[in-house]
Amino acid sequence: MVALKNIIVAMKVTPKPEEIRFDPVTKTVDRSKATNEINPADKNALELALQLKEKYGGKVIILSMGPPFWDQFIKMGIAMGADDAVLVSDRALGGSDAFVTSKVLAAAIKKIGDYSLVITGEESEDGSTGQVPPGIAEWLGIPAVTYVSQVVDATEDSIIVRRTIKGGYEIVKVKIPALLSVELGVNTPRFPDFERLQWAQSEFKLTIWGIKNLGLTEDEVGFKGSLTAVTELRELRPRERLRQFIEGSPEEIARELIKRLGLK
Amino acid sequence: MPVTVNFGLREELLKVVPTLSLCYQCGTCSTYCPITDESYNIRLLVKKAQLGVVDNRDFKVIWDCVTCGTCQALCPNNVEIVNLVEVIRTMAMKSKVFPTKINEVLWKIYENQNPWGYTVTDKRRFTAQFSGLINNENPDVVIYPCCLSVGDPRLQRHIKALIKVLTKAGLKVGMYMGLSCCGDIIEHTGNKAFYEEYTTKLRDAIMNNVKAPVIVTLSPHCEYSLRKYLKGVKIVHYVELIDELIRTGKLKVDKKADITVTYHDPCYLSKHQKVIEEPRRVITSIPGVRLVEMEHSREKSLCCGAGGGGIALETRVSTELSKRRLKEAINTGASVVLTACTYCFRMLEDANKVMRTNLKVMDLVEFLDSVLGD
Amino acid sequence: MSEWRGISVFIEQDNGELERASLEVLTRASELGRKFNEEVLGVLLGHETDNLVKEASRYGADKLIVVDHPDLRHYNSDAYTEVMSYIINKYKPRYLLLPATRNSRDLAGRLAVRFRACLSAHVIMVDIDEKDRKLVTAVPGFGGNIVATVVCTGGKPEMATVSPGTYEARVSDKEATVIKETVPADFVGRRRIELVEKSVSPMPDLSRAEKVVVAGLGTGGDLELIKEFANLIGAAVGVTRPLADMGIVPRDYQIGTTGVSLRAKVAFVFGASGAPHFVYGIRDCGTIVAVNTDREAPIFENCDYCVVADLFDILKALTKELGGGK
Repeated sequence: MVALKNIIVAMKVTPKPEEIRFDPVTKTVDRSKATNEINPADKNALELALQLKEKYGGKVIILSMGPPFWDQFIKMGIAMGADDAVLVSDRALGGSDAFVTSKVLAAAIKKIGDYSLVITGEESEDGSTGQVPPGIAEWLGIPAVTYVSQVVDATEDSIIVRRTIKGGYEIVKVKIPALLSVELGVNTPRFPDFERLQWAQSEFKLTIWGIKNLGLTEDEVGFKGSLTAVTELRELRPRERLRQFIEGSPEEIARELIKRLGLK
Repeated sequence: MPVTVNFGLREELLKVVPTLSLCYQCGTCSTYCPITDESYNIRLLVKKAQLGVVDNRDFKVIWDCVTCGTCQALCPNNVEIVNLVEVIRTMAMKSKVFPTKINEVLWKIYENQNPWGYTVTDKRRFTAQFSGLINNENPDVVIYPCCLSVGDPRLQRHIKALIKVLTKAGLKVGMYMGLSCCGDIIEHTGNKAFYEEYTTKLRDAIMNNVKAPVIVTLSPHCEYSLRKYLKGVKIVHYVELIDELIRTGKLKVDKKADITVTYHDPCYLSKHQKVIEEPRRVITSIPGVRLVEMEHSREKSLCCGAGGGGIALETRVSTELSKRRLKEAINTGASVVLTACTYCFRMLEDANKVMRTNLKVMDLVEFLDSVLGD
Repeated sequence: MSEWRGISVFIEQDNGELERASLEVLTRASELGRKFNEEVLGVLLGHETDNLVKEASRYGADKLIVVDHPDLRHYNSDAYTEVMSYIINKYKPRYLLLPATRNSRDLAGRLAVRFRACLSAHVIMVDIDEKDRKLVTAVPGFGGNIVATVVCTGGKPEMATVSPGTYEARVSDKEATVIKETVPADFVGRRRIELVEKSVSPMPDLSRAEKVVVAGLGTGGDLELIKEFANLIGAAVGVTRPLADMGIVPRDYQIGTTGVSLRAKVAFVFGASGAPHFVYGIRDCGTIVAVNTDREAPIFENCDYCVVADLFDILKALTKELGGGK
């Protein structure tokens, strides 16, 4: 009988990409007017974790690294069915790149401990580096399987998953504890139970840790601890389409299109 | 083996749907129900409810119901059948037996205030279309646009037509620019807690924003939904408003049109709100127009398939029903089928695209505006 | 301290199939190598790699390091990380570039932490700073709307995964010297991941197709003319969600947020209304031609050439003009 222990799900809250404003004067990204949402792939990750818990037992714990206002989103995760949550929040973390983020999350996972699986989304919709999941796995010294679409089976010491590759899939057996990063859109994240959400909003106590709780110093995180730095930002005008209507008989239109696109 | 009555569940159901006990199994409902088949039989469902033996099989099929309301409109004892369906859906939700797509739809409503995935960019484009056409300072009426029209230029045409017609009648027309779904679809998912929270927030937003005494909608679903939780303001569908404006002489229909049309009664207008003669009066007020009725009309009108969340859930029945209805429209020999609901329009128009007929699908106000011209 | 020298490029292969994006990166690396006088080292892991080696050695590398072992035939996160670490420790390349494919991004993420090295992801430009010789890249973010210039501030090797299609793969007149490396057995054996089953169909990779013809609901599921036209212009065929739902073609051909994102130079869209989740899948295409009978279909907000007409009429006309049809 397989009995999973802690299933830790990394959750990021991201601004909706199309609502980001770029300030050409200060050359910075203005996230303030954008609405935030749970990073879509992380919803798929949480859904997978909840399905695993239903099948194999275990405790689903949400882990996030971010500012205090993320708690309302974490509570949505609790309302979806997660059992507990930890938020790593500290001013010193501002400016952390993917390297630091994976380090911090790994430290938090070590502190939570007793885990069978760490489940993340394949990438975030803002940075979309996709580096954090394999990075976390390397810090923890555990194997990682990326672009997981579903779990096929679980045994005492391993988990068998389906992984999407170009033009097909792989079925892969990995020893637990392991990290799985979940492909975007592979499942339908359940809608939160709003009665549980109301309970969570008034009763649930979110665990909050600072870098000191993780045994990290200021030099190891934030801008100081990062190995990459952004020196310039520019906006890529979202491509404006020509929106040119081509009129005429089907034959005339066909000839015009062939000409313009050089199809002959 | 005779059925064992579940008295507990029976009591519960009778409490929320008291008219349940009045059903004597005449079978009118299932005869007119557009989706009766081996798996779905509303007459049987009512019987099972009376005995408290609603089970998992019922939880699976209850999502096919389009809540057209033909059953209860024709029921000789006025049993609140649609209400029963919604109650069973709530039960199904609790037992976690529901189409997975509902999760997707609810998340979209939560994150974007509409079930279609329209984004801020679509809303911005919509607002840009209308900001010059409306007057939100002291309007006489405020249009509440159906959220489906936010990303649908064709439906936006209907709104523009409505603005023109109402302006011709001397009204100052405003519009609610919050562009949120009225919550109709949430109700049909059986998710009461989210419905409560969402509509409470929406109600406050609308009350703070709308200063006119009348809200007019293009979708009967919006009208039906808003009436449930908005108090202190009159909510009408444009068909009722225009009918009144014509009858009181404020809107003059002085242009002719030599054309044969048929009219598709939106279920939420004809069956749920008994608005049946108003649209017909509006159509026949146009000199020269010949109105031909379809085989099923008025309370017996055949649903387009969008209701009950069908249009968002894309159930197995929704597309079939729309094709069936379009066929009925073709059979009348009319050149245009008119309707007065954003959902009905979309369903019939999409069916038309697939069936490639010579029939034209138009919204009633769009048609009226095209006749009146400038 | 110039102990770390050279530009290494990870040449990805899987089960004997070379990932062509690696050759693009190799070409760019060789440009940078010439400009900054750095040696270019290709690194290839696999099994029975002779054909791959022959191909890869023509794209500008000075040396091609090959590790051939049966357990490296298929990509394995653990084994590849161990072997690459061994190679990096031995050759100490200052820079390490990889294609931004799934497997390579996976590998790069682990290596970056193992070496405490900087890593820029799916870059659309990679260069070396003239003054301090640090790696400089352009990284898209926020759904591609913002591009950041990112510099490496610490760690070696300085790493980047390069987006496929950023650079062109060009055959060089130089042929690389092949070095066959053997790695201690336990390095390859240090794995906790095991491949159980693999299934790859010889499906055209829609996301790399240069020309695509998309069929929407307006076709009613009838793809005959669509396929004929696509054949004539050498295009791949994709569908919108409703057609995949109908089972007309497998879901691998579905374009959109939960399907394939196209990066074609030319995309034809026949009979699709242009729902947001579909439009997302064609946003990166060069030129989009849309045909729909509804002048107000949202698709016309998102195309370059808009045609309001019956798609079958247009398909017949196009096919005839191109010399096909009956």
